[in-house]
Amino acid sequence: MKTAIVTCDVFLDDVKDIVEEYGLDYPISSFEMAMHDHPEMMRERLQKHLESLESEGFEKTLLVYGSCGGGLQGLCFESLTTVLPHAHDCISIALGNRERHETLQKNEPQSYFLTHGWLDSTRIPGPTRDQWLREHYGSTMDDEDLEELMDADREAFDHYEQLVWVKHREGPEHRARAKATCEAMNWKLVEKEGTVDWVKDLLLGNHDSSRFIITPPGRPLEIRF
Amino acid sequence: MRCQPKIFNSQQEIQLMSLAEVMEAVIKGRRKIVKNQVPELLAQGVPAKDILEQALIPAMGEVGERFKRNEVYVPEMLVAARAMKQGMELIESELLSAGISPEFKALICTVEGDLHDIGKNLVAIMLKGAGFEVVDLGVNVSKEQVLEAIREHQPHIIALSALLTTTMPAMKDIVELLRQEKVDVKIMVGGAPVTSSYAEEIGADAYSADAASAVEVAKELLAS
Repeated sequence: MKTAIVTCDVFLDDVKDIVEEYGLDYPISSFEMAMHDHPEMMRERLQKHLESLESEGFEKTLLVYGSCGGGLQGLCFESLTTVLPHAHDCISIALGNRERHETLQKNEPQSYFLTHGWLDSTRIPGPTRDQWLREHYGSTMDDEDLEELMDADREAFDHYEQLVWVKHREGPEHRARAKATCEAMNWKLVEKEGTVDWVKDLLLGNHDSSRFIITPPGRPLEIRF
Repeated sequence: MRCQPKIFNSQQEIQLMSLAEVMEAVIKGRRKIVKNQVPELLAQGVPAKDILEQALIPAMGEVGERFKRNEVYVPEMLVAARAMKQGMELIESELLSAGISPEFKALICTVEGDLHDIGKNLVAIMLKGAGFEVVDLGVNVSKEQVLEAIREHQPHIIALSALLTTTMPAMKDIVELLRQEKVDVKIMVGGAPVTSSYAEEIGADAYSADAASAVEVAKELLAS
């Protein structure tokens, strides 16, 4: 089957590594992180993009996503099969199974979970996010209003007490960024062992029904837990 | 060219302009403008109800719509909510003096295991603006805490929020416990991953897609 990979940027480097290692002849396209903030828009964009792949003759897409706030719910195609991990989101995928994610979430709800992909983004609280806020809003607000916005933004993270880094790879700046976040937010840094196995199994076609959702053409993608 | 001053035809026009300025200030999250303008409007005799219904509430509705269209991001929503809250605090006592007191009580929380509260806080503000007395239990609230709070506060309606598919099952647990205990309260649910079909599946009474619609959903539920 002519197959394409569509991934969140959070896993892009893992996907590229696996494709190269195993010589997979699947084109890769990706979308920016945090689309889960707008599930309806996420669904529209993915629907449109996968329809364009469909029009190019692709028959299957491997989606490196989880439920991601419901942003993939209802995707439906005439001739395309979709396969994705039966995961809550990237954290489940990085932890290797969703049960481990559910247990951690329940027992340690004060955790702000992330992976190395998030450490590469401007989204994580702390100096990187503050810089992004200044760059994004600085030209349209005076200093006082900008400080208020940044304070309100920081307040949204007040309930968290620790940064949980689900780690399966580490780049040269990741640890420094994780530590900078913890220092800025007064959080503890916790590392949990992560894995890329679930992504690997997705891309290599090891699609057991307990871990993957396979949706044939004509049926809307349904993710239930 | 000489600058032509704007000539207002009436006091009403001046007041409408000022209400529009307050609305714009809330949309843009300019809390200090709200803090200055609202007392001035009250001093001019503008009813607190008008400030609420013609500036504060429509402002947050507009912010919600812009967020859905991805024209504003979370930080802008947060700072707009702060500006609205400032406005609400300034008119609260005037509303009470005008005899506008809450008819219904709502209890709101984010469910156990979940610390997200942006949406919950927005719903709380909107419900308060619509005349509800709101008891906010905060985040990571267990089903037992919800039950205890219902017994203490006797709300007419409870609003449950979850932002994660990992924590959504806690909504089901709360609904089951309340039904088991035969608690007489309407239950509405919401949060980004929550859907109307999920609400139906777990036996909730209603679902709200966002903060702006939460008020209408709550009112319809209480009228039913």
